[in-house]
Amino acid sequence: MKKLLLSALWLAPALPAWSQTTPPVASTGIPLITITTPAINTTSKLLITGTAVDTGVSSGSGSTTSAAGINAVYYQVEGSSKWRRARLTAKGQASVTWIVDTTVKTAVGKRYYFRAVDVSGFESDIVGRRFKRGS
Amino acid sequence: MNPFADQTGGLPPSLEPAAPPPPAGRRRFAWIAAALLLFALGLHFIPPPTAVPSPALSASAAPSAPPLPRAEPAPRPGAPAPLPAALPAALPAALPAAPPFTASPHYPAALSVAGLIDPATRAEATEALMETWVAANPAQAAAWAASLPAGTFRDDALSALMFHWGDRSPADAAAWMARTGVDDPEAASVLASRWSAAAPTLAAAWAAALPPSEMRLQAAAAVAAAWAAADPPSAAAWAALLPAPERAAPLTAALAQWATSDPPAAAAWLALASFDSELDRAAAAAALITPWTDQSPAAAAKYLNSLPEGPAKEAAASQFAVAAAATAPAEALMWAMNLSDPTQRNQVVADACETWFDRDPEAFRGGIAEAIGLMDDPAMRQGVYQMLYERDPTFQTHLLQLVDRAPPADGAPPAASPASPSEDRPQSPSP
Repeated sequence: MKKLLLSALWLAPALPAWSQTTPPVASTGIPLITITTPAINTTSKLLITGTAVDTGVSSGSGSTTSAAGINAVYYQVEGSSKWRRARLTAKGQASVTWIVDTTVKTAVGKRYYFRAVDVSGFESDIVGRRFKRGS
Repeated sequence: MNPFADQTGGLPPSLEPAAPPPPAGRRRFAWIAAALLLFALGLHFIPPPTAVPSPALSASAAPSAPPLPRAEPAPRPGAPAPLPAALPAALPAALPAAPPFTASPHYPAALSVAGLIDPATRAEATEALMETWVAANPAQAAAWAASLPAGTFRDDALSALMFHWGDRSPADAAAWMARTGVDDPEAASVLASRWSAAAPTLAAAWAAALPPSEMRLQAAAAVAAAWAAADPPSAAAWAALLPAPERAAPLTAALAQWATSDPPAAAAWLALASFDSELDRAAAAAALITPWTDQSPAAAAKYLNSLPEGPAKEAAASQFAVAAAATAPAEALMWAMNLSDPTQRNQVVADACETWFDRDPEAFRGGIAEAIGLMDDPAMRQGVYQMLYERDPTFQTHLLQLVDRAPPADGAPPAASPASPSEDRPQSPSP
C-alpha cells in the first residue's frame, strides 16, 4: 500500500498543466515599442518615428523593479534578413524616441518591422507596419 | 433484538465478512492511497478536449455498432447545449451560412493571392485585388480581409481595404470597423489618412470618438499629418488640443508635414507648442529638421544654431547630420562629431557617412580619408569601417591601410567586427 501511495505522489508532478493551479502572472519586463508615424505619406522621403518604453520587471507579489532603460531599437525591411539599428533621441532612459530615415516610392510601399532591446537584454515583441505613398 | 441474528448473536451468513477485517488504521491508509492513485491516473489519462464531430459527418462515417450509453454530465451554467444525436430535418437551415465572400467573383483571385509566397509580391497582388473588390462590393472584401488569420497577410489586406474604402466611403469603412470590432492600428491609420485628406474635420471627429487605444493614437496622428498637407495651422491647432498623453504623436506628425511646405512657420509653431516632456519636443524637432534640410541645409543649420542646448537641439542636430550628408557632408560630419552623447555621436557619424556614400560614392572615397583623420575615437572610425565593409570592402581595406596603418587584409574580416549577434539574430517577423 505504501508503494501505491508513493506511485501516486510520483505521478503528481507529471500531471497536465491545465489540471494544476495557475501561478500568479508576473510581468515579463519586456520593453514596449510603438510606431507613431502614419502609414500613408505624401512625400517619398520618410522619417519613421516611434517610442520604446522599458516597463521594468514585476514579481508575482506586485513589487516592480526599476526599468533598466532602452538600449537599442532595431528595424528590418521587408525582403531583408538584416536588422539595422535605429537612431535614438536618447539612450539608456526608460522611455525613448527612435528614428529611421528611409524612402517610400510606390503605392504598395514596404513593410518595416521594429523591436526594442533594453539594457538588461529583454526584447520587445516585433511590431510591423507597411508604409505607403499616398497623394 | 435483531431478527437476523443467529443463536450465537452473529450476522446471517450472507452478511458475514469473508475475511477478518484489517485494523481500522491500515484500512483508512489503503483507501487514501487508492483514492490518490486513482485521482492521479485519472487526470493523467483523461484525453484532451477535442472538437465534437459534426453529426452529419459522424453519420456517414460511423460504424454500425451503436455507441455505448453513458451518463451525460450536467451542463455548466451558460455552456451551450449539447448537440443532439441525430439532426432534426430543419436544423441544416439554422447552421451558420458560408462566409459571404465565397460567392464573390473575386474570391478565386483572393485564393490565388493567398497562395503567393513572396511577401512583397503578395502585397502588390493584395493591393490590386482590394482595389477592384472594394469598387465592386466593399462589404464582401472587408469580410474576406477580416477572416484572414492574424499576421502580415491580414495586415496588408486590411490596410489595402481601408486605403480604397477610405477613398470611396470612409464613413462606411469606419462603421464597419466599429461594428465588427476590428482593432487594427495600421488599418485605422490608413483610413484616417484617406478620410482626412478629403474631410479632415469628420476624420478628426471619428478619431476623437474612438475608445482610448493604440488605434486611436494612430488614427489621430494620421489625421493630423493628412490634414497638415492641406491646412497645417488647423492641423497643428487640433493636435495641440488633444489630451496630454496622446498629443505628442499627432503634433509631431503635423509639424513634420508642415515643414515640407513652410519649415520656418513650423519651427515657430514648435517653439510655442506645449509638450509633456523634452523628449517629445526633441522628437518633433527631429521630424521637422529633415524636410527643412532637404530644402535648404544652410537655413536648417541656422535654425539649429538658434536652438538652446538640450535634447531638442541634440535630436535635431542628429537628424540634420544624416540628412545634410547627401549635399553638405563636411558640415554634416562637423555637427555629428560634436554631439554630446558618445554612442549617439558614433552612430550618427556612421549614418551620415552611409548617406554620403549612397548619394555620391566617388566624392565619399575622395573625401573620407581627411574626415576620418579627424575622428579621435576609435569606436567612431570603426562605425565608418563597418558601414564600408558592407558596401565597398575593397575601399574599406584601402582606407584602413591609409589611415590606421592596418596590415594588408587577406580576405579576412575587417578590423571592424561584423554586426553584433543581436542585429543578425535569425528572428523573423510573422509571415
